[in-house]
Amino acid sequence: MIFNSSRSMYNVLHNYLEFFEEESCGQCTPCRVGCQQLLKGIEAIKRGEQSHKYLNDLLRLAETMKLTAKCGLGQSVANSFSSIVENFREEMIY
Amino acid sequence: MSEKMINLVIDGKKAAVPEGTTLLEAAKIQNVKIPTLCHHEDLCIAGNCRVCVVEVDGWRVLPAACATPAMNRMKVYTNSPQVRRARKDVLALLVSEHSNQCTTCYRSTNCELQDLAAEYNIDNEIYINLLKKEDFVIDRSSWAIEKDNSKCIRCQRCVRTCTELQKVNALDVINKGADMKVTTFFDNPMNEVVCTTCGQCINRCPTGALTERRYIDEIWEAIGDPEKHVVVQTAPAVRVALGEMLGYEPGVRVTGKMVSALKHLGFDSVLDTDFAADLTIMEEAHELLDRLKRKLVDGEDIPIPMMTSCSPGWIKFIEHMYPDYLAHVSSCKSPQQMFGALAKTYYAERIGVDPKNIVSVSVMPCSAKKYEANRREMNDSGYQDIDLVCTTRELGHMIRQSGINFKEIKNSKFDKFMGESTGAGVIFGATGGVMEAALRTAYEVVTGREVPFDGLNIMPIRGLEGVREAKVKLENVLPEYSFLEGIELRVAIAHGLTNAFQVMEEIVIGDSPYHFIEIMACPSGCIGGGGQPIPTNEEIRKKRAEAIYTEDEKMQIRKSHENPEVIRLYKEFLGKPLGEVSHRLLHTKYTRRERA
Repeated sequence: MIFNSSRSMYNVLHNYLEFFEEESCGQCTPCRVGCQQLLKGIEAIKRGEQSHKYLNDLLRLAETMKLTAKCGLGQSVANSFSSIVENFREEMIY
Repeated sequence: MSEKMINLVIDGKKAAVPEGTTLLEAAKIQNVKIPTLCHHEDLCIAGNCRVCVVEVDGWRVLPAACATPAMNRMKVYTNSPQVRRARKDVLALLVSEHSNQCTTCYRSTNCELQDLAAEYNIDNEIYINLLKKEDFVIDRSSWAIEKDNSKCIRCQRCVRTCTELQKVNALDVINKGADMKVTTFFDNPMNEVVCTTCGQCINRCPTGALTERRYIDEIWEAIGDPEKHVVVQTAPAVRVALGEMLGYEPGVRVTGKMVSALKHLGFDSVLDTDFAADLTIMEEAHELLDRLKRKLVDGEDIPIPMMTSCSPGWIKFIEHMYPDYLAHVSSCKSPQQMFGALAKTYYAERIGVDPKNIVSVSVMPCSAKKYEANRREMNDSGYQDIDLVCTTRELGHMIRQSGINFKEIKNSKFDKFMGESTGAGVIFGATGGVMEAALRTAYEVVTGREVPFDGLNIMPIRGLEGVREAKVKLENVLPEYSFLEGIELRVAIAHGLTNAFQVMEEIVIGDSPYHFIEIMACPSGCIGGGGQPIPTNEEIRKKRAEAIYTEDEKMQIRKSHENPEVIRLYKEFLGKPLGEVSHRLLHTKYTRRERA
């Protein structure tokens, strides 16, 4: 997917995660709780309530979601999350 | 071997399991325990907690062991770094949506989430706590069941219990994503929805989200009040399960120790619900014969089959679901309520205590009994017949609080007037027990001879199949029962409300061949009741049932009509079964209730 360089990747990710949190059916733990944690997590880091190291915990969580979620929705959250966080880490923090 | 075998490798060891075995079961055969939360042996597979994930060679994802069948040439790893990390993450996620106030939780030390969190060292809160203020509002509207959403981990065991085992559907899932939760119809309070209060959801809840409403403090207060004479009755199924709360294996009978412990707790009199069970049999067996006579001889339009009324969960079920068929239900009160009505009349008179100073406590394997005791009509003694009901679990807690060493305590006997029981009263605790006890008495009343089964054990109606049936031919009957000569008495037994539903549907379409049907709301009867120690599964319930039948065999008297205290009660107080006093104190009416 291609975004203009003027776009905030934090907002793009935030938008993605809001979508996933909303669209998760809520049945399995990794997707239901994981989506909420990823969204709340990047918000907390942005607000300075969590250290930037917390991003590493979230990356690991996204990986677990990819491996353990019951269906394709939960398994695919990590695709956008990991790609954006790994390539635009500074945008998540500042 | 006719069964097709599957060959696979689990943790480097070769295994051969029958086709259809799940990875969870296959690992168990190899002595490897895979942790589970949403999985329960009594329920269908859900695969939604994802705690049981394992690694399979060549698979892109980690499948849930509970929901994946073993396949040929599979290489499974149950303890790889990837699996351990995933399980720990999933547990940490569950902890983040669960109230972490373990010290103030009733289920603390008996909680599957707590156990796994300890096992996997979830020793700090990695993730942000997601609980909102409104999650902490506890629903205490029901007399029997408390619901605390802050402790729910959405495993849906309660939902599956209510749907599959009980067909009641009081609990279900609403919303999706972050808002998904387990709740009632329109999120209404528990006392306003169609809930039978059977408590089976409590027995299967892995955490403290569903618990019985507790009356431990009120009971201690009554015991401590010098003005009050506190009597306690204990149900038959309590004595074969209480041990599980106090360090014994399932299936150990602790009757004598339980009586000693209750005396130690400070109850003024320790009596036995089994006595009232014998009394119930006297009334119910005579009611059945009376119904048959009125139908066959007098030609009255009497509803047959007659159905038992001992299980308050079942009573609430039929009141909601089949209000047009309430006339089929025996008018006899349950043993608990018969006992309650007598405790504040007959018993009070015998010991010379003003009934207003009697506090009647009952220890039940049941949460629905809490509801039953609070039914508006249950005050025929002039007072509320039963004041406080506690479950087997609550009694276990009280005994622990009292500090006595339960394992070392000596056996004692129940107190006088309403403490004597027979084997027939004891087996009330298992499915089929009421029927067996009733047949032992009814057959003898009609023919003057014992039931024609070896050692009084009516084996065809024992067991744990959902619906069972039996026939007893009545021959050479006594002259006053000549209308029953040659009749084959047909009986059926159902336990679990899904099975009750099946039996009811036969009656609705007018196709029920039976004369008498026993129904218990809970799977396996009272031994699997909603107030019994947690965990529960078929193996545990089988052990409790065996213990019940052993208790019966060890009894000197095994027929209700031979209980000396029951005989004395009829002689001195009640007159005869179905008599005027019996009718006033021991029989009741039912209420039509809404279906939604």
